[in-house]
Amino acid sequence: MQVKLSRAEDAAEANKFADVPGVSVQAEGAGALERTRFLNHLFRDHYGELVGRLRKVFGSGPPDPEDVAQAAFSKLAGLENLTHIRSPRAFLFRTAINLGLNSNDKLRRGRNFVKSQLDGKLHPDVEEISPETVLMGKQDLERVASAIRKLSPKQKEILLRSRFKGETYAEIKKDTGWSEADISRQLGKIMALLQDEVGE
Amino acid sequence: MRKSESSQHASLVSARNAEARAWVLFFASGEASSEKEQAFADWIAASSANREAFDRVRRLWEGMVEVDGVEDLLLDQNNVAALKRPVVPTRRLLLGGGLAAALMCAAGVGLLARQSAPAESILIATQRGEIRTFALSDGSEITLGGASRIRGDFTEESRQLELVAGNAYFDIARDENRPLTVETDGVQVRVLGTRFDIKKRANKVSVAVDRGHVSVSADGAVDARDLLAGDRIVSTPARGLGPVETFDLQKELSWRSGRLSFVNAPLRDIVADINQYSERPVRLASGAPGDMRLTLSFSTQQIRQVLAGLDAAYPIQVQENDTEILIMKDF
Repeated sequence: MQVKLSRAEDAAEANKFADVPGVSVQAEGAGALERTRFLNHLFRDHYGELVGRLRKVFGSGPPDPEDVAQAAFSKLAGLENLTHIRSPRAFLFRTAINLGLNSNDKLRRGRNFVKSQLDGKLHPDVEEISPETVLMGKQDLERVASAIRKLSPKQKEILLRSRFKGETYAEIKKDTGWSEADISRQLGKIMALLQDEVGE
Repeated sequence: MRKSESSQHASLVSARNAEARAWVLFFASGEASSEKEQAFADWIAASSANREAFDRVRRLWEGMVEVDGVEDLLLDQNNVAALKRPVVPTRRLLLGGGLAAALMCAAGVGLLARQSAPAESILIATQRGEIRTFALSDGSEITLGGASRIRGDFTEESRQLELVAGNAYFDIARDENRPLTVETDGVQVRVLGTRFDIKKRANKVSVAVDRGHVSVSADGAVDARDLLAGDRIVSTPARGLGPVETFDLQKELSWRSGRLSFVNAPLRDIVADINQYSERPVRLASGAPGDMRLTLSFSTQQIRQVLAGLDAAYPIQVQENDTEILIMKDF
């Protein structure tokens, strides 16, 4: 269900943002005022849609779509430079989905380990908070979209559960009855397909 | 030999890519262990090519979330074309544009399926309150009631489906070489091509035949029962298959046009059906007369009015709050 906010509610929602920890709405100068205004605009323009998109993925939770959306805005508000964000919509959705994954202890542990291996101690947590990290160009995103369209319904469900809902293989098995070996094989196939499509 | 060298190189690259995919997926599997983590650290440290291959796959895994509307792409069940059900599915409508569109659609999907994948997995589902007809690649059509779900596999030899939740009306295209089986809580329905309806409930499965002939068996039972048009059978875990009885076709199948009809049905069954369509879940409080029998017919759009009417006419109290509708014994 898409959450649509009316004008009056918009204002209320935007004010809610002021209560998100770590977000400063106290303007201390022209720059800070500008920044606050910008953040409030982003919140007003994207919050409702973000919650709607997250609701499609998580249902009513857990994690609660509104909680995750607010946490994603918190991350955004914590960024030093907001002008580098290529697409606030995509950035917010990716951040929210990844925050959702982090609510699963096992997945968080694995993700942190990978990060520590790749980044060393130089720039930890870089992928989560840096909008400058362009993961894929526009053309590659389109290629990935067309590869996803070609997946079987079963593959789509597995990908949605694993990458987006952050379910472990054991959890997917519990819900669907598919064996963990099958889930692993399907995800391997999916990633091979995506990789083929972007030509790497 | 340059040619063999380059093909050797290509197979090395593809092996490395496969390893990289396996590592990225390992960290999504939820099976992290210290030994495996050490093995990964060693693999990454072994060569910069390993690390680059891993980075590429990881960028893909992370970045796919930024695909525009990716959640809709993943929630869209392909291989199955959803047909918008006419509000009133009269014969005239079906024989008009509806049927032509359905046939074209089925033919198109069938063609695609034949060209690309011999085995096809099927996964169709509806939300609470939604009634929807899906066309399958073999020309069959399945209408799902609210909050219902079917999954299965079509191969060259067989067509196997499972009704996981809710209820469904099956209009199965005849294929002598590929019998179709629907499994529901230990009850198997086997057909070549026909029309029938299956409803899954907490403690029973009912099968009703609209046209043709179906064979129904239950886990543990020796022989199957043959049902013809107008026959219905109910199976419970405790007693297995019950007697074959006749039923009112029109009433039983009216849910497809959004109308729920009950003849002398216990309140608890009515509540179960209502829950497939009600915005808020309806719950029978303990002590509520779940066995009270009622004869009713109403639109899925009128659930609240119907409940209010029951409150007035019978010894029950219906209370609504933000999260649910509660039916209690009258005091």
